[in-house]
Amino acid sequence: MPVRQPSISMLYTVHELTRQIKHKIQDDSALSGISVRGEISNFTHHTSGHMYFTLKDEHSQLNCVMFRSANAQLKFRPERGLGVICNGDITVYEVRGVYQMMVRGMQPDGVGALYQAFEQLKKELSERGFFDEAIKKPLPPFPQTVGIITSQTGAVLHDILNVIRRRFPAVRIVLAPTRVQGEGAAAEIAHAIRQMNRSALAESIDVMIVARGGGSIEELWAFNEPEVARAVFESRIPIVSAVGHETDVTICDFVADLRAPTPSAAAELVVPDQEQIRQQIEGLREKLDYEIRRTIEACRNRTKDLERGVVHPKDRIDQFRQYIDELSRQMHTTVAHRMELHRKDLSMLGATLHALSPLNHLQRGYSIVQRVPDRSVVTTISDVSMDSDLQIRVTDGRIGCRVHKITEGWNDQED
Amino acid sequence: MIRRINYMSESEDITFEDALKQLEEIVHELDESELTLDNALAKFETGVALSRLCHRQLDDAEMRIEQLIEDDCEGGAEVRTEQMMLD
Repeated sequence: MPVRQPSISMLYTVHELTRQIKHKIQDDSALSGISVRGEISNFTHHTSGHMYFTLKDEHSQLNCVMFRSANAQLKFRPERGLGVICNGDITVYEVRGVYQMMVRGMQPDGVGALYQAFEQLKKELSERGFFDEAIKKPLPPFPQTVGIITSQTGAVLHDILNVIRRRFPAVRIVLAPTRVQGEGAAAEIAHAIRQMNRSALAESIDVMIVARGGGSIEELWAFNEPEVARAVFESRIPIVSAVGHETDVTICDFVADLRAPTPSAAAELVVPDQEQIRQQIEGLREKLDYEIRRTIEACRNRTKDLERGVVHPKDRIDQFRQYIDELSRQMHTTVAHRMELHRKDLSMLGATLHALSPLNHLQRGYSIVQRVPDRSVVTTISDVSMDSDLQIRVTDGRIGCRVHKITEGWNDQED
Repeated sequence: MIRRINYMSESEDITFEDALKQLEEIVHELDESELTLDNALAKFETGVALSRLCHRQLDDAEMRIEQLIEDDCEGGAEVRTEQMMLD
Protein backbone atom coordinates (compact mmCIF):
# COMPACT_ATOMS: atom_id res chain seq x y z
CA MET A 1 0.00 0.00 0.00
CA PRO A 2 1.22 3.50 -0.73
CA VAL A 3 2.63 5.32 2.28
CA ARG A 4 0.60 8.45 2.97
CA GLN A 5 2.52 11.43 4.21
CA PRO A 6 0.61 14.58 5.10
CA SER A 7 2.88 17.21 3.55
CA ILE A 8 3.31 15.68 0.22
CA SER A 9 0.94 14.03 -2.25
CA MET A 10 0.70 10.27 -2.50
CA LEU A 11 3.96 8.49 -3.10
CA TYR A 12 3.83 5.49 -5.49
CA THR A 13 6.39 3.17 -6.69
CA VAL A 14 6.64 3.28 -10.50
CA HIS A 15 5.13 -0.11 -10.67
CA GLU A 16 2.27 0.85 -8.35
CA LEU A 17 1.44 3.89 -10.41
CA THR A 18 1.63 2.02 -13.63
CA ARG A 19 -0.75 -0.58 -12.35
CA GLN A 20 -3.06 2.20 -11.11
CA ILE A 21 -3.13 3.73 -14.54
CA LYS A 22 -3.56 0.34 -16.15
CA HIS A 23 -6.60 -0.41 -14.06
CA LYS A 24 -7.99 3.01 -14.69
CA ILE A 25 -7.70 2.58 -18.41
CA GLN A 26 -8.81 -1.00 -18.60
CA ASP A 27 -11.84 -0.38 -16.50
CA ASP A 28 -12.93 2.38 -18.80
CA SER A 29 -15.54 0.95 -21.10
CA ALA A 30 -14.92 3.81 -23.49
CA LEU A 31 -11.44 2.45 -24.11
CA SER A 32 -12.24 -1.19 -24.71
CA GLY A 33 -13.94 -2.82 -27.65
CA ILE A 34 -13.20 0.20 -29.75
CA SER A 35 -12.25 0.86 -33.35
CA VAL A 36 -9.54 3.27 -34.37
CA ARG A 37 -8.84 4.61 -37.80
CA GLY A 38 -5.28 5.46 -38.79
CA GLU A 39 -2.34 4.81 -41.04
CA ILE A 40 0.20 2.12 -40.25
CA SER A 41 3.80 3.15 -39.63
CA ASN A 42 6.85 1.52 -38.01
CA PHE A 43 5.46 -1.88 -38.90
CA THR A 44 7.36 -4.89 -37.57
CA HIS A 45 6.35 -8.50 -37.97
CA HIS A 46 8.42 -10.08 -35.24
CA THR A 47 9.86 -13.59 -35.55
CA SER A 48 7.57 -14.53 -32.71
CA GLY A 49 4.70 -13.95 -35.12
CA HIS A 50 3.39 -10.89 -33.28
CA MET A 51 2.99 -7.61 -35.12
CA TYR A 52 4.09 -4.28 -33.72
CA PHE A 53 3.21 -1.03 -35.38
CA THR A 54 2.10 2.51 -34.86
CA LEU A 55 -1.20 3.95 -35.98
CA LYS A 56 -1.01 7.59 -36.75
CA ASP A 57 -2.87 10.49 -38.21
CA GLU A 58 -1.61 14.02 -38.80
CA HIS A 59 -1.79 14.92 -35.11
CA SER A 60 -1.14 11.81 -33.04
CA GLN A 61 0.33 8.37 -32.79
CA LEU A 62 -0.88 5.17 -31.13
CA ASN A 63 1.29 2.16 -30.37
CA CYS A 64 -0.33 -1.09 -31.41
CA VAL A 65 0.36 -4.77 -30.97
CA MET A 66 -1.40 -7.60 -32.76
CA PHE A 67 -0.58 -11.03 -31.49
CA ARG A 68 0.07 -13.96 -33.69
CA SER A 69 -3.23 -15.64 -32.88
CA ALA A 70 -5.07 -12.54 -34.04
CA ASN A 71 -3.03 -11.67 -37.14
CA ALA A 72 -3.15 -15.25 -38.46
CA GLN A 73 -6.75 -14.53 -39.41
CA LEU A 74 -5.80 -11.59 -41.59
CA LYS A 75 -6.55 -12.05 -45.31
CA PHE A 76 -4.23 -9.23 -46.23
CA ARG A 77 -0.78 -8.20 -45.14
CA PRO A 78 -0.57 -4.98 -43.10
CA GLU A 79 2.14 -2.67 -44.32
CA ARG A 80 3.50 0.79 -43.76
CA GLY A 81 1.35 3.54 -45.18
CA LEU A 82 -1.78 1.43 -45.30
CA GLY A 83 -4.93 3.06 -43.99
CA VAL A 84 -6.69 0.65 -41.64
CA ILE A 85 -9.37 0.39 -39.03
CA CYS A 86 -8.25 -1.57 -35.99
CA ASN A 87 -10.56 -3.12 -33.42
CA GLY A 88 -9.41 -3.91 -29.91
CA ASP A 89 -8.79 -2.53 -26.45
CA ILE A 90 -6.47 0.03 -25.00
CA THR A 91 -4.07 -1.59 -22.56
CA VAL A 92 -0.94 -0.63 -20.70
CA TYR A 93 2.37 -2.33 -21.21
CA GLU A 94 3.69 -2.11 -17.72
CA VAL A 95 7.34 -2.89 -18.46
CA ARG A 96 7.69 0.30 -20.48
CA GLY A 97 4.86 2.21 -18.99
CA VAL A 98 3.15 2.89 -22.26
CA TYR A 99 -0.39 2.52 -23.30
CA GLN A 100 -1.09 0.75 -26.47
CA MET A 101 -3.84 -0.77 -28.49
CA MET A 102 -4.23 -4.53 -28.32
CA VAL A 103 -5.49 -5.12 -31.89
CA ARG A 104 -7.82 -8.07 -32.36
CA GLY A 105 -9.00 -7.33 -35.88
CA MET A 106 -8.01 -5.11 -38.72
CA GLN A 107 -9.70 -3.96 -41.93
CA PRO A 108 -8.17 -1.95 -44.70
CA ASP A 109 -9.77 1.46 -44.61
CA GLY A 110 -11.74 2.33 -47.74
CA VAL A 111 -11.48 -0.94 -49.68
CA GLY A 112 -12.38 -4.40 -48.48
CA ALA A 113 -9.80 -6.54 -46.79
CA LEU A 114 -10.10 -9.27 -49.39
CA TYR A 115 -9.75 -6.79 -52.19
CA GLN A 116 -6.67 -5.43 -50.50
CA ALA A 117 -5.27 -8.91 -50.08
CA PHE A 118 -6.07 -9.76 -53.67
CA GLU A 119 -4.30 -6.69 -54.99
CA GLN A 120 -1.30 -7.29 -52.80
CA LEU A 121 -0.88 -10.92 -53.79
CA LYS A 122 -1.49 -10.09 -57.42
CA LYS A 123 1.22 -7.45 -57.34
CA GLU A 124 3.65 -9.69 -55.51
CA LEU A 125 3.13 -12.71 -57.79
CA SER A 126 3.28 -10.54 -60.86
CA GLU A 127 6.65 -9.20 -59.73
CA ARG A 128 7.83 -12.74 -59.13
CA GLY A 129 6.90 -13.69 -62.67
CA PHE A 130 3.98 -15.97 -61.84
CA PHE A 131 1.86 -14.45 -64.61
CA ASP A 132 4.50 -14.23 -67.33
CA GLU A 133 3.07 -15.10 -70.71
CA ALA A 134 6.40 -16.64 -71.70
CA ILE A 135 6.06 -19.47 -69.17
CA LYS A 136 2.47 -20.31 -70.06
CA LYS A 137 2.28 -23.86 -71.29
CA PRO A 138 0.38 -24.58 -74.50
CA LEU A 139 -2.62 -26.90 -74.29
CA PRO A 140 -2.35 -30.24 -76.10
CA PRO A 141 -4.57 -30.33 -79.20
CA PHE A 142 -5.90 -33.82 -78.45
CA PRO A 143 -5.69 -34.61 -74.76
CA GLN A 144 -6.15 -38.26 -73.90
CA THR A 145 -6.52 -37.68 -70.20
CA VAL A 146 -8.02 -34.61 -68.59
CA GLY A 147 -7.57 -33.92 -64.89
CA ILE A 148 -10.43 -32.10 -63.19
CA ILE A 149 -10.13 -30.44 -59.82
CA THR A 150 -13.43 -29.22 -58.44
CA SER A 151 -16.21 -30.12 -56.07
CA GLN A 152 -17.70 -33.52 -56.67
CA THR A 153 -21.11 -32.13 -55.88
CA GLY A 154 -22.66 -29.31 -57.77
CA ALA A 155 -23.34 -28.33 -61.33
CA VAL A 156 -19.78 -27.45 -62.27
CA LEU A 157 -18.51 -31.01 -62.62
CA HIS A 158 -21.60 -32.04 -64.56
CA ASP A 159 -21.31 -29.06 -66.86
CA ILE A 160 -17.70 -29.90 -67.62
CA LEU A 161 -18.36 -33.60 -68.15
CA ASN A 162 -21.36 -32.88 -70.38
CA VAL A 163 -19.37 -30.59 -72.59
CA ILE A 164 -16.51 -33.07 -72.87
CA ARG A 165 -18.89 -35.96 -73.57
CA ARG A 166 -20.61 -33.98 -76.29
CA ARG A 167 -17.49 -32.52 -77.89
CA PHE A 168 -14.88 -35.23 -77.64
CA PRO A 169 -15.76 -38.33 -75.64
CA ALA A 170 -12.51 -40.08 -76.54
CA VAL A 171 -10.88 -38.97 -73.33
CA ARG A 172 -10.25 -40.31 -69.90
CA ILE A 173 -11.17 -38.11 -66.99
CA VAL A 174 -9.27 -38.14 -63.72
CA LEU A 175 -11.23 -36.34 -61.07
CA ALA A 176 -9.74 -35.03 -57.86
CA PRO A 177 -12.69 -33.92 -55.75
CA THR A 178 -11.93 -31.05 -53.40
CA ARG A 179 -13.78 -28.55 -51.35
CA VAL A 180 -13.90 -25.29 -53.22
CA GLN A 181 -14.68 -22.88 -50.43
CA GLY A 182 -14.17 -22.41 -46.76
CA GLU A 183 -11.38 -23.28 -44.40
CA GLY A 184 -8.94 -25.81 -45.85
CA ALA A 185 -10.28 -25.59 -49.40
CA ALA A 186 -7.15 -23.86 -50.69
CA ALA A 187 -4.94 -26.52 -49.16
CA GLU A 188 -7.03 -29.28 -50.74
CA ILE A 189 -6.94 -27.65 -54.13
CA ALA A 190 -3.17 -27.10 -53.97
CA HIS A 191 -2.71 -30.68 -52.80
CA ALA A 192 -4.84 -32.04 -55.64
CA ILE A 193 -2.83 -30.09 -58.20
CA ARG A 194 0.38 -31.53 -56.77
CA GLN A 195 -1.03 -35.06 -56.71
CA MET A 196 -2.04 -34.79 -60.36
CA ASN A 197 1.57 -33.88 -61.04
CA ARG A 198 2.91 -36.92 -59.23
CA SER A 199 5.11 -38.80 -61.62
CA ALA A 200 2.92 -41.87 -61.85
CA LEU A 201 -0.02 -39.79 -63.05
CA ALA A 202 1.63 -36.81 -64.65
CA GLU A 203 2.75 -38.80 -67.65
CA SER A 204 -0.79 -39.64 -68.57
CA ILE A 205 -2.58 -36.44 -67.59
CA ASP A 206 -2.33 -34.04 -70.50
CA VAL A 207 -4.21 -31.07 -69.16
CA MET A 208 -6.05 -30.01 -66.02
CA ILE A 209 -9.12 -27.96 -65.29
CA VAL A 210 -9.36 -26.18 -61.95
CA ALA A 211 -12.92 -24.99 -61.60
CA ARG A 212 -15.57 -23.57 -59.34
CA GLY A 213 -18.97 -22.07 -59.91
CA GLY A 214 -19.88 -18.47 -59.24
CA GLY A 215 -19.96 -16.98 -55.78
CA SER A 216 -19.04 -14.02 -53.63
CA ILE A 217 -15.44 -12.97 -53.28
CA GLU A 218 -15.39 -14.74 -49.91
CA GLU A 219 -16.69 -17.96 -51.46
CA LEU A 220 -14.12 -17.79 -54.27
CA TRP A 221 -11.36 -16.90 -51.84
CA ALA A 222 -9.61 -20.28 -51.84
CA PHE A 223 -8.56 -19.57 -55.42
CA ASN A 224 -6.86 -16.36 -54.28
CA GLU A 225 -4.69 -18.07 -51.72
CA PRO A 226 -0.92 -18.06 -52.27
CA GLU A 227 -0.64 -21.82 -51.85
CA VAL A 228 -3.04 -22.43 -54.73
CA ALA A 229 -1.14 -19.91 -56.84
CA ARG A 230 2.14 -21.67 -56.07
CA ALA A 231 0.75 -25.12 -56.89
CA VAL A 232 -0.64 -23.88 -60.20
CA PHE A 233 2.65 -22.14 -60.95
CA GLU A 234 4.67 -25.25 -60.22
CA SER A 235 2.44 -27.64 -62.15
CA ARG A 236 4.13 -29.33 -65.10
CA ILE A 237 0.69 -30.11 -66.53
CA PRO A 238 -1.00 -27.21 -68.30
CA ILE A 239 -3.88 -25.81 -66.25
CA VAL A 240 -7.05 -24.11 -67.38
CA SER A 241 -8.62 -22.08 -64.60
CA ALA A 242 -12.35 -21.47 -64.54
CA VAL A 243 -13.42 -19.93 -61.29
CA GLY A 244 -16.73 -18.20 -60.86
CA HIS A 245 -18.57 -16.30 -63.54
CA GLU A 246 -17.10 -14.45 -66.43
CA THR A 247 -16.68 -11.28 -64.39
CA ASP A 248 -14.95 -13.00 -61.49
CA VAL A 249 -11.19 -12.97 -61.64
CA THR A 250 -9.00 -14.87 -59.23
CA ILE A 251 -5.27 -15.20 -58.67
CA CYS A 252 -5.61 -18.78 -59.86
CA ASP A 253 -6.89 -17.44 -63.19
CA PHE A 254 -3.83 -15.24 -63.56
CA VAL A 255 -1.33 -17.98 -62.77
CA ALA A 256 -3.02 -20.65 -64.87
CA ASP A 257 -1.86 -21.31 -68.40
CA LEU A 258 -5.26 -20.33 -69.69
CA ARG A 259 -8.26 -18.67 -68.10
CA ALA A 260 -11.74 -19.75 -69.08
CA PRO A 261 -14.71 -17.50 -68.37
CA THR A 262 -16.80 -20.43 -67.08
CA PRO A 263 -16.28 -24.14 -66.30
CA SER A 264 -18.16 -25.13 -69.47
CA ALA A 265 -15.92 -22.83 -71.48
CA ALA A 266 -12.90 -24.50 -69.86
CA ALA A 267 -14.11 -27.87 -71.12
CA GLU A 268 -14.50 -26.41 -74.59
CA LEU A 269 -10.98 -25.04 -74.49
CA VAL A 270 -9.53 -28.33 -73.32
CA VAL A 271 -11.06 -30.80 -75.78
CA PRO A 272 -11.53 -30.30 -79.50
CA ASP A 273 -14.96 -30.43 -81.11
CA GLN A 274 -15.38 -33.87 -82.64
CA GLU A 275 -17.72 -32.50 -85.31
CA GLN A 276 -14.97 -30.20 -86.45
CA ILE A 277 -12.48 -33.04 -86.27
CA ARG A 278 -14.78 -35.28 -88.29
CA GLN A 279 -15.09 -32.56 -90.89
CA GLN A 280 -11.34 -32.19 -90.88
CA ILE A 281 -10.93 -35.94 -91.37
CA GLU A 282 -13.55 -35.85 -94.14
CA GLY A 283 -11.69 -32.98 -95.76
CA LEU A 284 -8.45 -34.92 -95.59
CA ARG A 285 -10.20 -37.99 -96.96
CA GLU A 286 -11.55 -36.02 -99.91
CA LYS A 287 -8.15 -34.53 -100.49
CA LEU A 288 -6.72 -38.05 -100.38
CA ASP A 289 -9.19 -39.21 -103.05
CA TYR A 290 -8.47 -36.20 -105.17
CA GLU A 291 -4.72 -36.63 -104.85
CA ILE A 292 -4.74 -40.32 -105.73
CA ARG A 293 -6.97 -39.63 -108.72
CA ARG A 294 -4.65 -36.87 -109.79
CA THR A 295 -1.61 -39.10 -109.31
CA ILE A 296 -3.20 -41.93 -111.29
CA GLU A 297 -4.21 -39.48 -114.01
CA ALA A 298 -0.67 -38.11 -114.09
CA CYS A 299 0.73 -41.63 -114.33
CA ARG A 300 -1.75 -42.46 -117.09
CA ASN A 301 -0.72 -39.38 -119.02
CA ARG A 302 2.91 -40.21 -118.55
CA THR A 303 2.21 -43.74 -119.75
CA LYS A 304 0.41 -42.36 -122.76
CA ASP A 305 3.37 -40.16 -123.53
CA LEU A 306 5.66 -43.14 -123.27
CA GLU A 307 3.27 -45.22 -125.34
CA ARG A 308 3.40 -42.58 -128.00
CA GLY A 309 7.14 -43.01 -127.94
CA VAL A 310 6.84 -46.77 -128.27
CA VAL A 311 4.23 -46.62 -131.07
CA HIS A 312 6.23 -44.13 -133.06
CA PRO A 313 8.09 -46.75 -135.25
CA LYS A 314 4.78 -47.69 -136.88
CA ASP A 315 4.12 -44.10 -137.46
CA ARG A 316 7.62 -43.66 -138.71
CA ILE A 317 7.22 -46.57 -141.06
CA ASP A 318 4.18 -44.81 -142.47
CA GLN A 319 6.27 -41.71 -142.67
CA PHE A 320 8.98 -43.61 -144.47
CA ARG A 321 6.42 -45.14 -146.79
CA GLN A 322 5.20 -41.77 -147.71
CA TYR A 323 8.71 -40.50 -148.05
CA ILE A 324 9.55 -43.40 -150.28
CA ASP A 325 6.51 -42.62 -152.42
CA GLU A 326 7.58 -39.09 -152.61
CA LEU A 327 11.10 -40.08 -153.57
CA SER A 328 9.64 -42.42 -156.12
CA ARG A 329 7.54 -39.66 -157.55
CA GLN A 330 10.50 -37.38 -157.68
CA MET A 331 12.51 -40.13 -159.29
CA HIS A 332 9.89 -40.64 -161.93
CA THR A 333 9.69 -36.99 -162.65
CA THR A 334 13.43 -36.75 -162.86
CA VAL A 335 13.70 -39.78 -165.08
CA ALA A 336 10.94 -38.52 -167.36
CA HIS A 337 12.66 -35.21 -167.54
CA ARG A 338 15.92 -36.85 -168.36
CA MET A 339 14.24 -39.02 -170.97
CA GLU A 340 12.84 -35.93 -172.53
CA LEU A 341 16.27 -34.40 -172.64
CA HIS A 342 17.72 -37.53 -174.09
CA ARG A 343 14.93 -37.67 -176.58
CA LYS A 344 15.75 -34.17 -177.68
CA ASP A 345 19.44 -35.03 -177.88
CA LEU A 346 18.54 -38.10 -179.83
CA SER A 347 16.47 -36.28 -182.40
CA MET A 348 19.27 -33.78 -182.77
CA LEU A 349 21.69 -36.62 -183.23
CA GLY A 350 19.25 -38.18 -185.71
CA ALA A 351 19.29 -35.04 -187.73
CA THR A 352 23.04 -34.94 -187.61
CA LEU A 353 23.15 -38.56 -188.43
CA HIS A 354 20.81 -38.03 -191.31
CA ALA A 355 23.01 -35.29 -192.55
CA LEU A 356 25.92 -37.61 -192.38
CA SER A 357 24.07 -40.56 -193.95
CA PRO A 358 25.87 -42.22 -196.86
CA LEU A 359 22.54 -42.18 -198.67
CA ASN A 360 23.05 -38.50 -199.13
CA HIS A 361 26.27 -39.26 -200.87
CA LEU A 362 24.42 -41.77 -203.00
CA GLN A 363 22.06 -39.09 -204.15
CA ARG A 364 24.92 -36.98 -205.11
CA GLY A 365 26.03 -39.82 -207.38
CA TYR A 366 28.25 -41.81 -205.15
CA SER A 367 27.52 -45.45 -204.65
CA ILE A 368 28.66 -48.18 -202.37
CA VAL A 369 30.36 -51.26 -203.70
CA GLN A 370 30.16 -54.34 -201.62
CA ARG A 371 31.57 -57.73 -202.05
CA VAL A 372 29.21 -60.62 -202.41
CA PRO A 373 28.34 -62.36 -200.30
CA ASP A 374 30.16 -60.79 -197.29
CA ARG A 375 28.97 -57.26 -198.07
CA SER A 376 32.25 -55.76 -197.07
CA VAL A 377 32.71 -52.39 -198.65
CA VAL A 378 35.17 -52.24 -201.45
CA THR A 379 37.54 -49.34 -201.04
CA THR A 380 40.58 -50.57 -202.87
CA ILE A 381 41.30 -52.77 -205.91
CA SER A 382 42.90 -55.30 -203.64
CA ASP A 383 39.47 -55.95 -202.18
CA VAL A 384 38.31 -57.61 -205.40
CA SER A 385 39.44 -60.28 -207.70
CA MET A 386 38.61 -61.05 -211.27
CA ASP A 387 35.17 -62.54 -211.97
CA SER A 388 34.07 -61.98 -208.33
CA ASP A 389 30.53 -60.77 -207.87
CA LEU A 390 29.92 -57.34 -206.44
CA GLN A 391 26.87 -55.40 -205.43
CA ILE A 392 26.50 -51.71 -206.06
CA ARG A 393 24.18 -49.79 -203.83
CA VAL A 394 22.58 -46.71 -205.29
CA THR A 395 19.79 -44.54 -203.90
CA ASP A 396 16.93 -46.72 -204.88
CA GLY A 397 18.39 -50.22 -205.21
CA ARG A 398 21.19 -52.63 -205.87
CA ILE A 399 22.98 -53.52 -209.03
CA GLY A 400 24.67 -56.89 -209.30
CA CYS A 401 27.86 -56.99 -211.41
CA ARG A 402 31.01 -59.04 -212.08
CA VAL A 403 34.60 -57.86 -212.13
CA HIS A 404 35.99 -58.15 -215.57
CA LYS A 405 38.87 -55.73 -215.27
CA ILE A 406 41.03 -54.39 -212.53
CA THR A 407 43.14 -51.37 -213.15
CA GLU A 408 45.37 -49.58 -210.75
CA GLY A 409 45.15 -45.81 -210.69
CA TRP A 410 42.48 -43.38 -211.88
CA ASN A 411 43.57 -43.06 -215.55
CA ASP A 412 40.38 -43.32 -217.65
CA GLN A 413 42.09 -43.02 -220.93
CA GLU A 414 42.93 -46.64 -221.01
CA ASP A 415 39.19 -47.54 -221.39
CA MET B 1 -3.48 -46.52 -69.46
CA ILE B 2 -3.28 -44.31 -72.49
CA ARG B 3 -5.98 -45.20 -74.90
CA ARG B 4 -4.64 -46.16 -78.28
CA ILE B 5 -6.21 -47.31 -81.48
CA ASN B 6 -5.16 -50.35 -83.33
CA TYR B 7 -3.61 -49.52 -86.65
CA MET B 8 -3.96 -51.54 -89.84
CA SER B 9 -4.91 -54.57 -87.81
CA GLU B 10 -1.27 -54.98 -86.96
CA SER B 11 0.28 -54.76 -83.56
CA GLU B 12 1.44 -51.21 -84.12
CA ASP B 13 -0.37 -48.84 -81.79
CA ILE B 14 -1.07 -45.27 -82.67
CA THR B 15 -2.80 -42.46 -80.83
CA PHE B 16 -5.68 -40.52 -82.35
CA GLU B 17 -3.51 -37.44 -82.54
CA ASP B 18 -0.72 -39.31 -84.32
CA ALA B 19 -3.19 -40.94 -86.70
CA LEU B 20 -4.59 -37.56 -87.64
CA LYS B 21 -1.10 -36.12 -88.00
CA GLN B 22 -0.03 -39.02 -90.23
CA LEU B 23 -3.13 -38.59 -92.34
CA GLU B 24 -2.29 -34.92 -92.82
CA GLU B 25 1.29 -35.82 -93.72
CA ILE B 26 0.18 -38.38 -96.29
CA VAL B 27 -2.17 -35.91 -97.96
CA HIS B 28 0.63 -33.38 -97.97
CA GLU B 29 3.07 -35.88 -99.48
CA LEU B 30 0.61 -36.85 -102.18
CA ASP B 31 0.04 -33.19 -102.91
CA GLU B 32 3.60 -31.95 -102.83
CA SER B 33 5.89 -34.68 -104.05
CA GLU B 34 5.82 -36.72 -107.20
CA LEU B 35 5.50 -40.23 -105.87
CA THR B 36 5.68 -43.37 -107.93
CA LEU B 37 2.28 -44.90 -108.55
CA ASP B 38 3.02 -47.85 -106.29
CA ASN B 39 4.18 -45.57 -103.56
CA ALA B 40 1.23 -43.24 -104.01
CA LEU B 41 -1.25 -46.13 -103.90
CA ALA B 42 0.38 -47.50 -100.76
CA LYS B 43 0.17 -44.06 -99.15
CA PHE B 44 -3.41 -43.72 -100.25
CA GLU B 45 -4.36 -47.05 -98.70
CA THR B 46 -2.68 -46.07 -95.47
CA GLY B 47 -4.46 -42.72 -95.56
CA VAL B 48 -7.84 -44.33 -96.05
CA ALA B 49 -7.16 -46.73 -93.20
CA LEU B 50 -6.09 -43.85 -90.99
CA SER B 51 -9.20 -41.82 -91.74
CA ARG B 52 -11.36 -44.86 -90.94
CA LEU B 53 -9.48 -45.37 -87.71
CA CYS B 54 -9.95 -41.75 -86.73
CA HIS B 55 -13.68 -42.01 -87.35
CA ARG B 56 -13.94 -45.31 -85.55
CA GLN B 57 -12.01 -43.87 -82.64
CA LEU B 58 -14.55 -41.08 -82.36
CA ASP B 59 -17.50 -43.40 -82.88
CA ASP B 60 -16.45 -45.98 -80.35
CA ALA B 61 -15.20 -43.56 -77.78
CA GLU B 62 -16.87 -43.51 -74.44
CA MET B 63 -15.75 -41.10 -71.80
CA ARG B 64 -14.16 -42.87 -68.88
CA ILE B 65 -14.16 -41.25 -65.49
CA GLU B 66 -11.71 -42.14 -62.77
CA GLN B 67 -11.20 -40.69 -59.37
CA LEU B 68 -7.91 -39.81 -57.82
CA ILE B 69 -7.34 -42.00 -54.78
CA GLU B 70 -4.67 -41.61 -52.20
CA ASP B 71 -3.57 -44.67 -50.28
CA ASP B 72 -1.61 -44.04 -47.15
CA CYS B 73 1.33 -46.34 -47.11
CA GLU B 74 4.84 -46.41 -45.80
CA GLY B 75 6.89 -43.50 -46.99
CA GLY B 76 3.89 -41.33 -47.82
CA ALA B 77 0.74 -41.51 -49.81
CA GLU B 78 0.47 -43.47 -53.01
CA VAL B 79 -1.63 -41.98 -55.74
CA ARG B 80 -3.76 -44.07 -58.03
CA THR B 81 -7.05 -43.76 -59.84
CA GLU B 82 -10.21 -45.77 -59.60
CA GLN B 83 -13.07 -46.16 -62.04
CA MET B 84 -15.94 -43.97 -60.98
CA MET B 85 -19.63 -43.83 -61.79
CA LEU B 86 -21.51 -40.58 -61.69
CA ASP B 87 -25.26 -40.32 -61.42
